[in-house]
Amino acid sequence: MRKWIEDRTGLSKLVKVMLDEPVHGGAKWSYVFGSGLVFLFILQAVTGIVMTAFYSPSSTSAWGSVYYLQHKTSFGWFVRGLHHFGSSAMMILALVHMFQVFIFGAYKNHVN
Amino acid sequence: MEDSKAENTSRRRFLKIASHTIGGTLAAGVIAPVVGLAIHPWMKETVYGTEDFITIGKVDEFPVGVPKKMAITSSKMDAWNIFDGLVMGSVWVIRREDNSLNVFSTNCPHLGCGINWGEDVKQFLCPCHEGIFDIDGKTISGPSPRDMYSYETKIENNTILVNYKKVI
Ligand code: FES
Repeated sequence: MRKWIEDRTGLSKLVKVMLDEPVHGGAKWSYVFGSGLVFLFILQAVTGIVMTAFYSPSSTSAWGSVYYLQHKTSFGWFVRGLHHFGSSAMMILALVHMFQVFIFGAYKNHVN
Repeated sequence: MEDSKAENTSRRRFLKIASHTIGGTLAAGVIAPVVGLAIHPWMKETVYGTEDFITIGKVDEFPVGVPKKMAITSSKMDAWNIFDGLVMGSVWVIRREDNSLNVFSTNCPHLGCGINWGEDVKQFLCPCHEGIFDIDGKTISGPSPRDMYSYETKIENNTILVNYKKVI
């Protein structure tokens, strides 16, 4: 089963490439922001898609559907919270990441 | 040299297991609620208000001994969609002095026409084939093979509830 999935998707190869990517000049904590952004982006996408299933975009039921999501569903409040704070966190991380790339000169060609 | 290499490997192993454990736990804490929300409609009841007994009003809204016609409206709630005031049918409600109730379908047991109350003759009259019923719903004359359909009722907190089912 595992091999079959691997044969079809190359999933574990992808995970390896993502996790074991050699970092030029050694790994540093200051390099986490890019990965953090990728994680947040996936989180926003997944929570957003799941919450769409509980949203009704109409003038009469929009409020009601959000109320239902927040108060009546299992973990609806939590997932909505993740999405809410995730969006702010993404803005902050994007800025930090941009400054980090700029200050470290990461956009220049590598020599080592 | 050999020693430090062995130590290096076990240290590496420990760090690997530790980071995977911490990372996995944190990931599970995020993934579990998202999955829980996604499968919510599967696991939980999302439709409310399909109970058997339907409220039709307060006891004192019904005069003693005089049949009163009431529309039966149900209210259903499907997740955030509220269906209020769906008219399902009508009933004749007769309240007696001792507050006992008779609730009859307005549909004639013959072919389903709407039955009226004839106040002057104190009888239920079906306009279609001249079916006549007394105030207790018993057939007096006409083609109807049986007495008027009646419903189970109960009184809670001075409110009348009817176990309404569509009969025709
Ligand atoms: S339908 Fe009422 S008597 Fe025939």
